[in-house]
Amino acid sequence: MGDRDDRPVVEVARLFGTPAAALSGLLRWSQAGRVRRDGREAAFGGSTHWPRRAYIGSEACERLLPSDAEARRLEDVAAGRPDVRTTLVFPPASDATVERALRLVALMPSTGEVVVNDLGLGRALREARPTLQVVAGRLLLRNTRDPRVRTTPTTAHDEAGAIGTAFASLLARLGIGRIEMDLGQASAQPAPPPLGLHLSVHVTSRVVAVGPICVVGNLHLAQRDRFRAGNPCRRECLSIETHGVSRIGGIERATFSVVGNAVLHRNGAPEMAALRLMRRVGIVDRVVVVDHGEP
Amino acid sequence: MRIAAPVASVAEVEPVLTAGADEIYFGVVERTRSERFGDAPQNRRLFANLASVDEMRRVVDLARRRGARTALTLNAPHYTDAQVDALCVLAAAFAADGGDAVIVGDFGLLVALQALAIRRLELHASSILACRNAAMVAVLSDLVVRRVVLPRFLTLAEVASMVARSRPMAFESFVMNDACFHEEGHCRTNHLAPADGGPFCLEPMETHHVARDGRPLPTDLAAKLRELDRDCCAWKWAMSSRGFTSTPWGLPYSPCGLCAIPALDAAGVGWLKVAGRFGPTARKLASIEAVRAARDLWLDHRDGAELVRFCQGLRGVPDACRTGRMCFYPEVAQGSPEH
Repeated sequence: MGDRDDRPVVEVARLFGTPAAALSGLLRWSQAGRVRRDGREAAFGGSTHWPRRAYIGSEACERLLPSDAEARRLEDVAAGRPDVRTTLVFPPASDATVERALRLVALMPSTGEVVVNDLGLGRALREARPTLQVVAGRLLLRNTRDPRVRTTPTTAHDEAGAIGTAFASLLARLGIGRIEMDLGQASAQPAPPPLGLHLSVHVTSRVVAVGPICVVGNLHLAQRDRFRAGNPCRRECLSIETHGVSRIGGIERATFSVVGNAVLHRNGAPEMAALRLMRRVGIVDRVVVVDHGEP
Repeated sequence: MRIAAPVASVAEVEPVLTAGADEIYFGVVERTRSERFGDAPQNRRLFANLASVDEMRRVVDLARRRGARTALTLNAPHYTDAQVDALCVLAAAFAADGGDAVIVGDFGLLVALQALAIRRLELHASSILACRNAAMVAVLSDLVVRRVVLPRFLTLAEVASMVARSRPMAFESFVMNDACFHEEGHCRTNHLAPADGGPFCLEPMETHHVARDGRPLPTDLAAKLRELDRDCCAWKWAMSSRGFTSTPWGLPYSPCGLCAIPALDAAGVGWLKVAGRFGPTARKLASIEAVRAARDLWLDHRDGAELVRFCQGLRGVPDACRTGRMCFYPEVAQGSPEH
């Protein structure tokens, strides 16, 4: 898959917000061979970069993982499309979610791919299925990215370059060869991640914070039961999100959205500039576009 | 069960130990390190750290004379390679002075410290590492971590599950002060100065809800969401020490997990953590004394109902306690006889 200006090959992945959306997406790919281009895909890849990898699951919430039946159906559909690959995406995990993840990956091909946002989960999945491709999710990179704090060229950190060598060696020990990251402001000389780690970047939004409490998920509960870890939800996050603005002295300084238990900041021109720079020097080989149903 | 508590100065060591701490923890941010690394994060609670290695040495010496343990926090969520090198030097100096443990919040630093194998120095995993499952404990165990500080928002069932599968790892749970509304291991925001908005999670911001399909929200749903927002603000206020206030006798109205001591004890959690490194000394002392009193009551009588009554009376606002909105483990308040 080349590109018109001979930039390095980049795989485009799309994270679907729900198993149903993923199924629908895969079927559309099956029928039409492509999905709708959105602005970011076009800005990034041009016409040759239709998504070829479907991300299914959630980076932030244990409640949004597919059921066993949904996972089976998705794998069946994906099996009919050898040009489309699937990746299961997992959030930070409790013991119960680790067990659930083990069941879900048992439904995948043995050489399938997972994104984990919990190193314990990564270890458990690799132990259970040693040929599984395990990717370190973006929540594992924890540079400060408060949208209220304006970075300047002198304070901009190149996130790929900020992946420490020791951390990379831990990922290697755990059999992890790829890491995902958010986009920050461009630094002058973006550096590749150490130890030959492959790099994926999220182009839609960056994660500001993920919490144990999903506020909107407490909507259906009586006051006395609200805001407790482990509360049941009705997946309210799939239909409602919150937009917020931080102002200082009456002047807008940051916008964000709250989707379920995740606070996100939509990427804009500075982040896209960072991506173009990183791509020019060839350190990114996958971009992830998040579907409307993020996270 | 033993108590780990913070100090932010040499002067706090004696009173904190007298109040009941079995281990004190503290950070050290030297000016030279600040100058060298600029705005890169150095430590949590940046303005409540010791200022020099000399102060660190005095703190360790004072604690050792009292037979108490010391732990050095190296718990920014992310360090660069250059910072890791500098902090390994600091950790070695701390161990050479007789320090017992470092509390580490960055995987890279943990790997580097494991490789260094500093004699007599225990590695503890900070809550910043967000350890929520036994497989993660195994990762930390491979890195020769000896104690895991658990995240704040776990259910007691989750704690019990993880601890039971992870012996002989030691565990420490927050039982007093300082809620985080996001999972601190997955929060990438700054605690700005109050004039700049303060912590992201507490800044009053303009918010509005939208339907994700682009259609207008039904009126009744919009009203319910506004009520939910008000209730969420009330919860945050309660979990923020009821507006950062204290009882007349100095005990903060802070979130706590004292009623859960029996469950934590049964699960095998051996250390009770008092947070609040940045707070004034009186707040620290009142907090430690409350934890010690609750722990001793439990260990002496083994009567959970008596402990709940005692803990809910500590601040003189038992009704507030019973709502569970000042609790790290609200399931205990919900299950208490008074509820």
